[in-house]
Amino acid sequence: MTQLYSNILLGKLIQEVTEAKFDDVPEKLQQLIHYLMEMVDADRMTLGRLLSDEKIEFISVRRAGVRKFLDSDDFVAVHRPIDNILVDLIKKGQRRIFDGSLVNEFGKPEKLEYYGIHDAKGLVQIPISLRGEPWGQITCARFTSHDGWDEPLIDMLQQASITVAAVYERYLFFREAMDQKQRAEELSRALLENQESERRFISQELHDNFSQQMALITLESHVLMDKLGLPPEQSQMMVALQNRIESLAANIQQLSRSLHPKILQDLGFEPALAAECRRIESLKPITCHLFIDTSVSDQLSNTVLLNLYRVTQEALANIVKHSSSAESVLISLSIEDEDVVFSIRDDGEGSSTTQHAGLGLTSISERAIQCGGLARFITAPNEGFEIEIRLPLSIDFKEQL
Amino acid sequence: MKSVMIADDHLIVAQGIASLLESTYNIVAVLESGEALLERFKIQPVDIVITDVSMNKMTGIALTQSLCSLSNNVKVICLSMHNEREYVDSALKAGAVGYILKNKAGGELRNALLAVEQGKTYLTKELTSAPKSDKPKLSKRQLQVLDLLVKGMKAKDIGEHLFISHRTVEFHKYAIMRILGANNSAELTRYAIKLGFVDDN
Repeated sequence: MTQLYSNILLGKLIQEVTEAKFDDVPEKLQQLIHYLMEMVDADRMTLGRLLSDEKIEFISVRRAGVRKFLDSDDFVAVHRPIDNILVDLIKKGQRRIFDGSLVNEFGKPEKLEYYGIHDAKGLVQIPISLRGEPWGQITCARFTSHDGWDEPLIDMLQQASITVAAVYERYLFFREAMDQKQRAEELSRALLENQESERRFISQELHDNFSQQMALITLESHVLMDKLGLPPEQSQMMVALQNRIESLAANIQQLSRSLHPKILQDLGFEPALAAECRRIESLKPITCHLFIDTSVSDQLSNTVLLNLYRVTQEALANIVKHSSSAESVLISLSIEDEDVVFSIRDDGEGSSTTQHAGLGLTSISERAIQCGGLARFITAPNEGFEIEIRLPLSIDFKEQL
Repeated sequence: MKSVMIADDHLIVAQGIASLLESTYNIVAVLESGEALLERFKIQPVDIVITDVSMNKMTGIALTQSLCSLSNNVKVICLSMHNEREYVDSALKAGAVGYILKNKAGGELRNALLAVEQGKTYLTKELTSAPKSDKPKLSKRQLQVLDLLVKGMKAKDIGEHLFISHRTVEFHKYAIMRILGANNSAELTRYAIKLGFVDDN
């Protein structure tokens, strides 16, 4: 009954699984385990990884029509508590082979039921150790009568199972690393969003409450002044007082504006950038040129526009601080090769490296990622400095958000 | 007595404005949103509308636009905390004839009303609208590059001449073309001469 399996095919499958890209590993691993199952003529095969809390993580493959293992879906990892005997076997590195009835060996029928082997006609348990440490086990089950297990094939399975375990372990390790990276990205997104929403809240509060109250105070003081009909000297004092209130109100408004650009919602992306450019032009002899394709900006979400606005603020602040020879800045938003491209480029002295600390480039990159895109920094000595943000059209447009 | 309607989502400020004006104007309504004012105006048009700019949903700018498309006679004055020129430009473009900073309203609003009644435009003194310049502004470096481009020099030679790289010359050329709105080198030369950046000899 033993089929003649090709070592070449096994070798090919092992090569495929060890070389597989991260996303393809589960499928390749499943194919390999399935092949091993057929190689030893089993009906179901289960890879178990010992966990620190006396549980085991199982993934399982089976022939069509064969009962599921632990009611789990095929090749989906499930964590289950296991009995001490099995743990001991793994730790001691002992292989177990059963033919015929298992009841006597395993003890209670409930236990067989638990593992879904109460009607199994044969079982092989092979311990796996990696780097000299007990790692887990691989189990083959047969559900039809048979002439016993072929030991050389079981030996071959034991060899292959080490590769299987190593690949699986490496996969889990990478998955963990990717999860952590994703969590870090989510955290940084949440932090950015949090910061923006707090700023927006304080800004709004300043605008809606404090600024309006101040405006009202000046209005009422004028109404009062009309009614009182003060003599010139007192009237002058009143005007001076009003002026002080006005300038305080203006300061509060400026604070509100610096916290959150209300102008973005009020007037749109292009006027908001124009106001920022004009502010920079008043600080430094420089001319900013804006080329905003409003048919593009009209379709971007508010979150993306706010991020691009913040990037512009950061970039212009950099130019003021670090690019003393820059005379002009080109800011453009357009569609290029299916991407939304936002670029800020100056004609200053540039830089020999883009690894500048303190340039705020990290936060620019971060914002680009938040928008679903990527930032690039293009520069060389005497060649100016360009920040380019590319967003794939598909990710970015409003209806997709 | 001229009729006036006021819109501000900070109702308390709108009422303050109303009390400032009530002795000399007929205050028809004080409303909390642009939408509400627009609906009221359709039933009962007034001579003058005073509106806040930053309002939720319909901004004062959008309201101004709607009012001006409904009526040729209405005078709209925008009242705002924002002193950026872009706000002033947007308001004027939408059809407003006045833009006053809210905290200056006590002293300026009545003068502004008198001015707009006489067909003038009134802006708070510290505010100015964008200067309408026919001639785009080019940097010194851009002018140098433009001059040499018009003289027929290649980007590579210009780079050597000005001690900058070929790539940077290309960037300057690209920037100049965008600033002047030229689509190709021939147009660039034509516009440069027309706008007086270089003489045509």
